[in-house]
Amino acid sequence: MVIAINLILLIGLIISGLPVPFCFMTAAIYMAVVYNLSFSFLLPSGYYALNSLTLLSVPFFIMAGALMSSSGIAERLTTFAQAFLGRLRGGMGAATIVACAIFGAISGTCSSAVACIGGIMIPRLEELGYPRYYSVAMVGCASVLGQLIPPSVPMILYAWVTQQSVAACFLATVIPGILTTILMCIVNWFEVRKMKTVKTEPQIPFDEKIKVIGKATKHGMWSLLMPIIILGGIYGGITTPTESAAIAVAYAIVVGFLIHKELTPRILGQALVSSSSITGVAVLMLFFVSILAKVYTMQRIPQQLADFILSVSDNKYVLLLMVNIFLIIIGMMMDDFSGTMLSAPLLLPLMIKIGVHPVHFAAIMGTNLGLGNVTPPCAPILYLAGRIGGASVDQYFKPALKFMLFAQVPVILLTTYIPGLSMWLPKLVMGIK
Amino acid sequence: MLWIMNTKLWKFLEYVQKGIMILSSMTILTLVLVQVALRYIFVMPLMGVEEIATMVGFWLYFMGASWGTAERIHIKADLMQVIIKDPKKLIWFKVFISALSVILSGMMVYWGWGYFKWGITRWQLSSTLMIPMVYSQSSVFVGAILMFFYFIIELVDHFLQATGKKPLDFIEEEKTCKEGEEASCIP
Amino acid sequence: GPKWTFKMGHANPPDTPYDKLAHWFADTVYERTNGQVKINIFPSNQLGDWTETFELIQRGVVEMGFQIANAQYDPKLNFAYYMPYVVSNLEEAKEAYAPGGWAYDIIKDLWSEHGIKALAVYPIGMAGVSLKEVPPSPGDPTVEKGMKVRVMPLKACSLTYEALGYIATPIPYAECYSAIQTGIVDGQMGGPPFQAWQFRDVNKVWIQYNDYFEQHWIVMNQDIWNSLPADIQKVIQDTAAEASATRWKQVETEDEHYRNVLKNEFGWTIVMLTQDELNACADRVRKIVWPQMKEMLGEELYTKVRLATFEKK
Ligand code: NA
Ligand code: NA
Repeated sequence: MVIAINLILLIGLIISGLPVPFCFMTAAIYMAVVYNLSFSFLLPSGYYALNSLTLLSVPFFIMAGALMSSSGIAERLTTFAQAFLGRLRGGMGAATIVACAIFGAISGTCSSAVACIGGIMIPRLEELGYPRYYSVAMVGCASVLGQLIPPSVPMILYAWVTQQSVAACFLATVIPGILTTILMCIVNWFEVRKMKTVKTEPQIPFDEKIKVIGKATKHGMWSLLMPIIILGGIYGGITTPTESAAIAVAYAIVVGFLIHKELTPRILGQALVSSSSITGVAVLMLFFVSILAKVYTMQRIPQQLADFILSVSDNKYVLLLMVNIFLIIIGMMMDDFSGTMLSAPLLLPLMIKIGVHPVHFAAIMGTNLGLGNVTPPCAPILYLAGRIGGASVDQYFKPALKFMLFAQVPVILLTTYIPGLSMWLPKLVMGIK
Repeated sequence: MLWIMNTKLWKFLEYVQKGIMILSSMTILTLVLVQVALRYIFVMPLMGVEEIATMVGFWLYFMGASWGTAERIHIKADLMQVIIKDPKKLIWFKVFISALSVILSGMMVYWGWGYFKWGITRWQLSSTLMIPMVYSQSSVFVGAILMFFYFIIELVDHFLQATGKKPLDFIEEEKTCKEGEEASCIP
Repeated sequence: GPKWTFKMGHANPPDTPYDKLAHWFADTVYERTNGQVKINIFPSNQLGDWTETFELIQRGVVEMGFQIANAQYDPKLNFAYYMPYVVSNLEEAKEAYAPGGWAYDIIKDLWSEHGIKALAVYPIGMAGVSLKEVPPSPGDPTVEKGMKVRVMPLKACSLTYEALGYIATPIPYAECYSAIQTGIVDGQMGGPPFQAWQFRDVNKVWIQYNDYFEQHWIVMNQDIWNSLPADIQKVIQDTAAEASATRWKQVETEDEHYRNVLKNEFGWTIVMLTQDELNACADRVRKIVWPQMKEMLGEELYTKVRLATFEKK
């Protein structure tokens, strides 16, 4: 009952247009009042949650995103992408989705993918005739791919909580991630077909095309090095994601000042101010989400929900479907970190009982919580995309729903009911039985 | 444009907040880069650099969050304009929401004060460098005060609009989207 | 329903020996108080990491815990968490940390200075380091190993592993795995072989340095403890002592068990240092690191520790 009222309160406040961090705050206050908890620990809980070096990668990647725009890197990168894909229908949309998947692999978190790719691509796509709200929906949903394509911070947390191999958990979500990417590109193709505004460039002869690509490559060489530096740093074992994010910022500053000569101290200052504000509003949300998650944990709210699930059925497929719904609700209520921390220890014993491998469950959690992050009412990642792209929920909700229904939901179902989809790679590479 | 935005107080706050945001951004950037360099060039990472970076990060977060309140870029769902079609009712609803924001950020100020006092009396030290953690904890309190202040301004602004004064939303008047500022500049 | 309901957290995953014993503790207290006291167990740091739960217990928001001391509130508590080579093997650890042992008494008093009632020690195991390959002369601390080891973000940890000849790199636990996987560090310290077992896919070597004896404490908020009637207090105290005794027996076999699993199932190399090598490590670390901890611990405690350890011999 308390859970239901709390949920209704949360949803109602979010719909009312109260800044989302304060909706979470109110929900936490409600819980604290009902359960007679002292308020003294609420802010410290938020403080401890933010006191993390990993979280520093968020401002860095948002900075990198802002600077990639103002130092001319983004422009050259998109010119490059356009040279390849501009002539295909919906090509730039597909390029954006793929970019989100790749960027997610760079950052390990979805919010930085939203900030960076969204900041660059949404204005670009608008120039090509894609409506802003559509691009926001696309970037928001695609950024969830960052959780599925390694490295992924929620997967590391899952592995620690459930005593599984991180390497295996990373591999478990790779195929679902790629599958989601492909389905999203297909959805985009169908959507763009209906948009009369979207421009495609006229066909040109092959040798001409080679010239265009060559020119774009030469022109964008310094820009193209940036993702290589970030990825190389992480996969080459040189830097942590936070450090490579910092290197990306430094690189963007150097290229902007010395090579492209488009950056001035004034623009740099503006970029830092704007990236700090965006980081601040995003982190404030995380602050209150962590507080609410802590109150939920203390009152064993997820435990009660799980007990409810078990009381309804003991059929494996019915249970799996209910677990899907449960995870999506958790994902709706909180961020992927807290959602993982809460659900994994809670549901794993149940999963093992009904014969689901823990590594398989990693993929189930990853895909479900990912959807939860973009499912209103509490869709932090989608709202962040809206914030960055400058579109309102009522506009971008519909196209976002299409991406969810036709790209994310099918992958969730496939991942849940076909263990081989997620287990094949870990079995192949790690020899997991 | 509200009268207060032309006052010295507002300009001063803007100057200080933007200063802290730029300074903290550059500081965490430098610290993290120096640590990478030390690890590879001198094969001797410095103890506690990450600790300072994280502490400075708090000032970035809460200065950013409160300046985000001034610029009204908080993450929120804009569904009410679909539900309430009458602009007059809508603006009065916005007054209500702003009032709620003022109350909630006011509570945050109150708790922030409690946390600040706890920090001063218990004097928690960071694990490696043993820096008083109240230096970063106080950012929560300062951020809350600033948010409270900016939410009051927003409330006054919405109230003036609701009582028939002409729209005073400063964002549309003040800012025009410049190139390279897409992320921050939202029409 | 129960008259008292308490929250109690611990750091380890569900269904580990630690978690099972925690549940045994909760169930037994419930039975022996005829259902008056119900303790809910929160595994895997669900309530927060040790720094946060320490504060939550101080505030009384969380009532109980299997808790590590948080030296952030009092540098003296470093002694209760990470002070290297207070003991150099399990026998010495038992002498020092078992009820009535010299370190046991010191730590119990330290807890009470912070409004926390320490009920019993909850031993975890003898620590060491896991690595990608065997370093040159692992038993000789004066030899530079040229390997980067993740250490807990504590000053004493960095100093200790530098004194043992490694390049100490402080990294939070959450980032430790990917740091090893990607090669930013070559290994990790911070716990017994059980912790190394978490890194079974990315490391290949275990070196039993015995640099510290990891112990958590069964604790309760002092005010809440004081508010309980004497008979309830007695049940909780006695059950905690029993849990502690059970855990002491487990520790003896558990470190051995996980070393064997790593060796036989995952092909690890296990390096057990001789007592002479351990003494060499201990002497060097005590000589280099301890003086730097003097200021943290304060003159009085520092002298006590010195008297109780090598000046005793
Ligand atoms: Na990722
Ligand atoms: Na959601």
